[in-house]
Amino acid sequence: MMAQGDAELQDLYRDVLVDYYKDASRQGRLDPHDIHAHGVNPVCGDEVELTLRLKDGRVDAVRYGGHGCVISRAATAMMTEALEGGSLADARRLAGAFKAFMLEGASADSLPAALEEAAALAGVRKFPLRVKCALLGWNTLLQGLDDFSKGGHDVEYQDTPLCQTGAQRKDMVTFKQVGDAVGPVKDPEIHISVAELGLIYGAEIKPAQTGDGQRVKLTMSLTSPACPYGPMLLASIHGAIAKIPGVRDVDVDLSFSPVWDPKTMASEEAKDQLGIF
Amino acid sequence: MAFAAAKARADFPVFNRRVKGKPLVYLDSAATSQKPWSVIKALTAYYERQNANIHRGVHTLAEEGERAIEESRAKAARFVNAPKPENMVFVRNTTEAVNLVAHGWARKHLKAGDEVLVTELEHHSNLVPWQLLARDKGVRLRQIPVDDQGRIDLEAARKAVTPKTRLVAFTAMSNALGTLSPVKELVDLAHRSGALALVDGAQWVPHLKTDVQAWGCDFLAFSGHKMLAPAGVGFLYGKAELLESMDPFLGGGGMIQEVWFDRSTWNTVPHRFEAGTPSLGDYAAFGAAVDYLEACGLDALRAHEEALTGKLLGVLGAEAGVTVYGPLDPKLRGGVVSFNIEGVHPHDVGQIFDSEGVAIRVGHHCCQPLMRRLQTGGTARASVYLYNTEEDVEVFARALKKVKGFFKVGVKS
Repeated sequence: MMAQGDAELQDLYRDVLVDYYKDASRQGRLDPHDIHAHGVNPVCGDEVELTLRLKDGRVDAVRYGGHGCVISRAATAMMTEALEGGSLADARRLAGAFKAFMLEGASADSLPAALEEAAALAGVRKFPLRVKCALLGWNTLLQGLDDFSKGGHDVEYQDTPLCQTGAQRKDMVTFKQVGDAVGPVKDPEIHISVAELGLIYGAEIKPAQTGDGQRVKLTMSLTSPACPYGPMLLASIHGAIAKIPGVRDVDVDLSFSPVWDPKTMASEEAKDQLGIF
Repeated sequence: MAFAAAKARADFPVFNRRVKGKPLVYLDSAATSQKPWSVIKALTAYYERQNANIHRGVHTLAEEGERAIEESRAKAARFVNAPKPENMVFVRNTTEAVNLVAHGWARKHLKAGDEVLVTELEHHSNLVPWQLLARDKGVRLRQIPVDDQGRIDLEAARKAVTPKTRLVAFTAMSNALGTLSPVKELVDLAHRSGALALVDGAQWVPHLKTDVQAWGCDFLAFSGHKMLAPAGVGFLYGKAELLESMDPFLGGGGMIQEVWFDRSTWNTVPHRFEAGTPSLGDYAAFGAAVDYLEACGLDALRAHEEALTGKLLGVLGAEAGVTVYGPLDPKLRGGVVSFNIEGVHPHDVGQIFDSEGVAIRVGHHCCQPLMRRLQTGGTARASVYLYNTEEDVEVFARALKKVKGFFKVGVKS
């Protein structure tokens, strides 16, 4: 005998979803890849990592990693299947159709043929808390596509809190983007990256005072206050941050409090190179 | 004398409702507790009978309102055996209490190179405030490791304390695993090297007897909403001389003695830290929660929770494909049990439990570093309190079997 709740459950977890959840055929990571996007839902900690390889302007292959519930994994698995063979414009169209289906109550008939199976996610719409599970993979993909169209290959998506509509977040800059941009910049004197050296003390991301976009303020140190290469290094850091999409203003603040100490701040590898044991 | 949980249930109006057509089985008290009639009545009575701002008026309502709130402070002091009500600072919750120490004490007294020591068990609320401090002041944040069962290793803790350690901030009971910390030992360890000890009592205080004087801790942070009181009220206990030495955190009305245009002098402790109009009704109703818990008796409550925890652990241990986190001996843990079912994501576990009317918590429990340490993205967590019964554990066991059947996992073929 089935109780009232159980009918809803069967509807939420249709067999086809559980099959997709267990299907490992597109799980993993492509290396090399053209597009890389990593998405998290900070509420539940679910993660998805997407890698896409392109060939002649079409999606040649897609893989996904991370972890998540049946809904988020199955939706992502269906997505990767639907993307292969299509163009990036097709990918955006599919994403639009899927979001209309999940968020605006569009009928299953409106789903493109490549996304037919996604009709099985209809039951999720009755569980508002779970809709974001179904969207995590797709939102991460859209972020990856946006980033790629601006010349990037690597992007971070963070699910928005329930109180945000998402519309205003288009140009958000993440700490990871800043870290990824400045991390590889090398100290011109000793040829070790500033990340390895531990010269970056902190960053602040705020809306720019004028116009659209974000203002990034980075606090960093130099290996010595009198470092003759200081201005050169600061210029490279400045340039690296300015290239991040969505950044309007860049401030690089020098700080010698605390004074840089390679023994406690540099990575083990950098210490090896510097001869500190 | 056995604990009459079934009788206690009648005091909590939420159990009159049904969830998914079934009686509510509430196993999420570690997130927030349900509220008895007496607390709800105290809250509405405040607004029906006394509503007036405090520390401002001389009229009858203001006087009565202030008395109700100061009674709550005195009851909080008695509940954790603080020497005086003045040791208790009203805050919104544990998070605010920890932040108050980080701003009022640490920012004033710590300098670059000093160390704050936490444990791998910490809730984000006893971790992120110290990260912010580390970022702004160049203070180093370090961790005491836990073993695979989530127990604090005292030997490792001894090694982690250095002459630069100025504060050891740790949870008395893990919200994610239920592990009980060796509180007294850690406080002594901190004091031996000249550091202060802050105890995060969010999970401990509602369930186990607390005696800040026996512990000797310098600070204790806890929330009302996990101990039957309304959300919006909590406390920071601090030793008198430490509170005296602290700077205000929020400036505004109520926390000053005299104000000129360019400067002010501070009010006495604890009012120095209580700027602005607080959540009056919640503050007033806190006392009713203490009354209820004291009438139950914390020893009887502990025995009741230990027995239920043992039964939950038994149910989980008997199922194939189930991983239980934390120590297996109920004596070493509070009424919190974290688990995973192989092949099923915790969210999906929670959804099936909900279909049986069972409320459990799923996810990382605001303990992402601990989840990484245990090599899992999240867990399902059941937690008990005074209104849970053996029947609740039976429904829990049924829901657990339903998850395995539904997703066809852990069934031997």
